[in-house]
Amino acid sequence: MDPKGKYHRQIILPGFGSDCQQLLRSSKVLVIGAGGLGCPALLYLAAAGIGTLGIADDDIVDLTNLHRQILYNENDVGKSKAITASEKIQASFPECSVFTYNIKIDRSNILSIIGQYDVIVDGTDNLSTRYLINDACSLRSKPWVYGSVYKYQGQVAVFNHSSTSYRDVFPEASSSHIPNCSETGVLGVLAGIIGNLQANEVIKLITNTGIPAINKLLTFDALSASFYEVAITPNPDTVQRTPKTDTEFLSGRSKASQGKCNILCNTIDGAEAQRLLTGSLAVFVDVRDSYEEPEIENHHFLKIPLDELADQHTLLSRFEHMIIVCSAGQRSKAAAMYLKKIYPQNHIVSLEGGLNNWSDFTKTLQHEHT
Amino acid sequence: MSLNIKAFGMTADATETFSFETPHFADTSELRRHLERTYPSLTFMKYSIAVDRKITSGKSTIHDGAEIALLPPFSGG
Repeated sequence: MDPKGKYHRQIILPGFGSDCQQLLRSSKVLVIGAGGLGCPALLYLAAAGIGTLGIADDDIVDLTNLHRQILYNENDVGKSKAITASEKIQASFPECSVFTYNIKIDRSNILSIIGQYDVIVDGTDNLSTRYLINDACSLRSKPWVYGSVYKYQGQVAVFNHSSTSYRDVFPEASSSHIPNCSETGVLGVLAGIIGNLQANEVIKLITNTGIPAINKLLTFDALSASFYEVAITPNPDTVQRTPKTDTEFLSGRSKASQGKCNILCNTIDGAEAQRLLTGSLAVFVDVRDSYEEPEIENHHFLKIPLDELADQHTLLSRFEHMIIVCSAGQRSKAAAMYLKKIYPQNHIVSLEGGLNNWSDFTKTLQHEHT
Repeated sequence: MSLNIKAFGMTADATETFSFETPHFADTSELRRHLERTYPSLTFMKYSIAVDRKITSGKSTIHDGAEIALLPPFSGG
């Protein structure tokens, strides 16, 4: 099992032994996101002797990543994170089988990818992928280890290990914008701490050692060096918000995207949108995620997912009129509010009821014309 | 008796402090209304409320002297 004695110091631990080492050796772990959380998690998982690691990321290394994404150096700037991380892990830990996914994990590919792994590690930097991981893991009864960071604080939990899910804590995705590290800043070492807490949970899950961090959410605060732990109990809303079949999952039509929104902003109905668009007065901005369907037809539009709005809003600065759309009209309201703060002089409205209502409206129009 | 509130992540940006006190409110809906009147930017955030270190859903009773935590989802990785 350990002919070179590489894992000796953990094998001799009480309650560990060569049986646990063999369990690590036979296990397959997928890390989605090779960033601030993924880098330390990958290094320690590979070092612990995990037999197979999947590394998924579609991003490239940026100079500003280096203070926390410790697999990379200045020579890697501009290179694929998934490929670079895979090469480095493979070079340092030749006994580990590494599989590289240099792609964006989305609704269409996640089920087939996670099916090949025992445990999923969340190293993503956006909420839409996190809900995707949660729903896909719920559907496939796969445990996943959640981690995320904000400035000086980080959260960790193990979800779906015959236990509560992310939606039991946060039933639905926020319709307002949640900034990521590139906007708010993050302490590099904090990402290392949270990524390592995740690796620790993975090792415990695989080896059945200790007590996994299930049915609770841990928040670590780097400034006070303290943990805050809260218990999670099943939330009655979770069942109806989690897709129950592959078809429901692939269509992206659970009740997750529906929910009340208290944001006050200007909304327009389909008729008004049609009037503005016919006169070419306005630009259509679709803030849905890239995997969401149906595509808009017969109108010019810009596609900027809500999570990317903060980075890309300057594209919109030259448009005096903007009609923001999403599927049900909730995220578009949040986006319209956000943009209005940046461009107070512009006419920015949200399409009431979203594209669900819009397609009904366009069908009616076509019908009247025939 | 007052309530001790701990704010995490973005909610602490809204309240501009990690820890503060409010008068007592009978349930989490009333507390939420009070907080969102006092700190309007909370209105635009999604956050869960933990009472005595247990995540609540919907309208949950708050007893005298309870410890409250405002827990928003974090996004970064």
